[in-house]
Amino acid sequence: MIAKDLLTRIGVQLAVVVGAIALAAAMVAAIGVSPGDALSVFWDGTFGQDVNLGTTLTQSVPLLLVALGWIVTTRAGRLHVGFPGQVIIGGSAATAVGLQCGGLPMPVAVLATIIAGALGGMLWAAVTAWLWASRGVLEIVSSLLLNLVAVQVAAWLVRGPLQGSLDGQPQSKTFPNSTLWPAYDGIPGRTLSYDVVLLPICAILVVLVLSRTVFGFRLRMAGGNRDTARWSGVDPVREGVKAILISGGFAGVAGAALLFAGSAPWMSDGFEANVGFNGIAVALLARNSAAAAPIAAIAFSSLNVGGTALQAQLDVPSSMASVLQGAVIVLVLVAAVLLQRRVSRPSASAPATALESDAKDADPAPVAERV
Amino acid sequence: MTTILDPGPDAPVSPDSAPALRLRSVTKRFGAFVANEAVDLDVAWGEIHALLGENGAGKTTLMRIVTGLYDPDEGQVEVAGTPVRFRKPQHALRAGIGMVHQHFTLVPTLTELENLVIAPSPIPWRNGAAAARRRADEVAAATGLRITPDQLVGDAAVGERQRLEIVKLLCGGARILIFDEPSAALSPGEWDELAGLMRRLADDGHAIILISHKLSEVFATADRWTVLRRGAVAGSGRIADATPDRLIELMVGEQVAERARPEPREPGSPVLSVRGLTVARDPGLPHGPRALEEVSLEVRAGEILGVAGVAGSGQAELVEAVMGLRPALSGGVDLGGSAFTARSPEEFYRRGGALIPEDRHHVAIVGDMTLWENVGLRALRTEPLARRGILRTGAARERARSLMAEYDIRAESEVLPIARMSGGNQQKAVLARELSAGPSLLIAAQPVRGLDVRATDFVYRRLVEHREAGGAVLLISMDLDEVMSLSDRIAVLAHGRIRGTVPGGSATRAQLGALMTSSEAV
Repeated sequence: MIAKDLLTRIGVQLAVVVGAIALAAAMVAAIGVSPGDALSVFWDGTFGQDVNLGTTLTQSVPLLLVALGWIVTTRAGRLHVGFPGQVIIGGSAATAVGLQCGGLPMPVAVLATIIAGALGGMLWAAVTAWLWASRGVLEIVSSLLLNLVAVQVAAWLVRGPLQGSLDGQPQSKTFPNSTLWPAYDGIPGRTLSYDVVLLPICAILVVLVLSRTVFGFRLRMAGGNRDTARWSGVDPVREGVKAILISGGFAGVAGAALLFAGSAPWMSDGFEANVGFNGIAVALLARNSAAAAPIAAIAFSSLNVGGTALQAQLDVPSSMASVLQGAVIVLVLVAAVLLQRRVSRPSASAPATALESDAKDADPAPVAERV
Repeated sequence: MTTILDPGPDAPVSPDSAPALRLRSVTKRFGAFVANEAVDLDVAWGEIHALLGENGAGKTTLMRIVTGLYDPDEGQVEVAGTPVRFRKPQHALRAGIGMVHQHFTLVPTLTELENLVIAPSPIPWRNGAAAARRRADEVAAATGLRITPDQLVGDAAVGERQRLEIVKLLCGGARILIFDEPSAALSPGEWDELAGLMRRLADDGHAIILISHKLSEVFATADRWTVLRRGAVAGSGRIADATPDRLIELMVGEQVAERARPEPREPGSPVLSVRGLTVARDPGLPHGPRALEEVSLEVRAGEILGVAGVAGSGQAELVEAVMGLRPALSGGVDLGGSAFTARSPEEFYRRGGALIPEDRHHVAIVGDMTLWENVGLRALRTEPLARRGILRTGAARERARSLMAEYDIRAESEVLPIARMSGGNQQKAVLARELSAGPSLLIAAQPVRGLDVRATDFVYRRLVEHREAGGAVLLISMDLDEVMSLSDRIAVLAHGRIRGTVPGGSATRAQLGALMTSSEAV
């Protein structure tokens, strides 16, 4: 039964991929580009050549980090959208620290940027968490508004305290070499940063922490049923605060990665490049599963990178890539809803339930909730 | 399989009118499992028809087919002689079939009146509060079921919510009423009232289907009965021709042994003392109305103290205040021999407390988590099932499997999400979790609500065993029979005050009933 469930899931995912490719083909054909050409350019521009493969993988890391933050918060039953702001503040903090770390040995300096990024992101998330826990301000609202504040803070920083370019551009000084995150030398342009090891490490870490630790268990209790958690001695507010802080930490590290493993070794005010919101999309694409998030992040990153290649070589507008990203998310969500229907309707997929239950409690609550 | 020939409805019906509800060979499968197998059922206008069976016998599935939640795989449903096929619950409502669910379908953040307004109304463009209030008044006048229109449903006690459910259906013009375990939440007085109401509705020509595990109620109210066992009709007939033993035998397929009253014994030292506890009804309004007023009680080791009272007398507030979930205005609690001042659920459990809450769906289980996680909801957070913050999942699952065997929790496997198990098995899982912690005090609020005969018996035995082993039990219940058959002493709670405490052995229903409705402190 479980195997059958899995097969259905895989089948649906494949259908999503095929659907996305068909949609993309239709879109490029509509603007007069041969889908075959587009596909080959897309492949070369994302995975086919080492340089581009490096870019695709490196750019997927911040997306993954943000997605993991989202997954942790939703598991705790919270929902915030402050990732762009946390990425920006995390990156700014990492910049401020990194610029002072020129004299330090490379591992220490790199570690310092990571920690500074995490703390910066957490600090920004802490505002949201505090407003929610102590004042009851809905975290989704406060985090959204704090994004706007963060954008202005970064704009001020690169024109004020962190401004360092000689010609007065709104950007920081070039980062000291020792702070730049190491990259693989075998690829021209050093596009493959070693931070790609974070893809499996962080995903596995989150999976394990959630499923195998007391910390994760309490978090999931709080997210699964607030009242049960409260009645059995777990404070759901506290768990929610922890989750929001952790997600801020992830987003802050993503900010540091964008700067110190990115293409330009300085901070300018547009460095966030929508990673904060795209990371949420990655989590949705992975259907909130930490294990699936790395693949979703790479897929999403390839759409970004491939879109640039299509624009450069075939004049396909880059907005087309955004349209495709949106379409993929909608396809995944539709697939999710379809799967849900299959599962919640106690049909062939739920005989074990009915066996014991006369389905008494399996169903009415969800029905009521949906209404 | 025993089949008793059904002599047919004996209620007065005009010769040309078809039965209110007629099912013919209704079969419903979930995958390989047959929930209902070729079920025939006839319910006449003007009769109360009891539908009996164990948890999992297929009663609820059958009623979901009747109310349009499920589509039958085979067979036919006729309402008043017309074949029907409901695609949505609304269709069933329109055909005059309404169900009072065990799990209420109310919006807790709205007032009772607003909940009536959102019910499908016969005049959709005029669903104003005034009309709903008038309808509710009419229903109250006709049936005696009164609601508190401006109270938030979230603040209402379970009994009050159920009353509202019934009023809602009556306001919606239901003619065939299905009651799923209606007495589970009601006090004896309220039940008598409801029984009278059902009779009146039947005499008015309504058809009533009563799902109940309590045979005393069935015999007191119903005209005919149908027993389901493992999805099929095990028998049906007239109540007048049946005996309780016969029906139990049909339901469980065997005789259930009589349960003896626990032997009286000398209780030990106090485990829980509540002294002069006063609690506000709304924690935000400390000067507002009180839910508990100067409540004092004491539960000693090796003793079951029953707390009797009608729903909404302050039972929920008592539990919440003892647990530390609700602030007390004054008074104190001793737990395990010392003052329990900084009250919190965590500290309550740490001091040897355990709780079977009344509302297990909302506060005792995490539906999406597996059975083993729910059984280990607290144990998993401490040694030995967790070491240095890491869960020992293998050991935890092992423990869950052994508890499944010990407490007769029937599930295909311990990794099943608990929401997909039946109510009876969920309750047993909660019982297993609470008792396996080896508590000195067990607070059990309505511990058998919605359970069938066998599961009820199982829970009672466990409670008594706990007492025999020297544990203390605070049994909070609205069911007088339950309180009287289990308790060593019975404290009666009414309007937030303890009206008196009587020995369990010599208490009579009349004595308790008088205390429950008294307005003077004794």
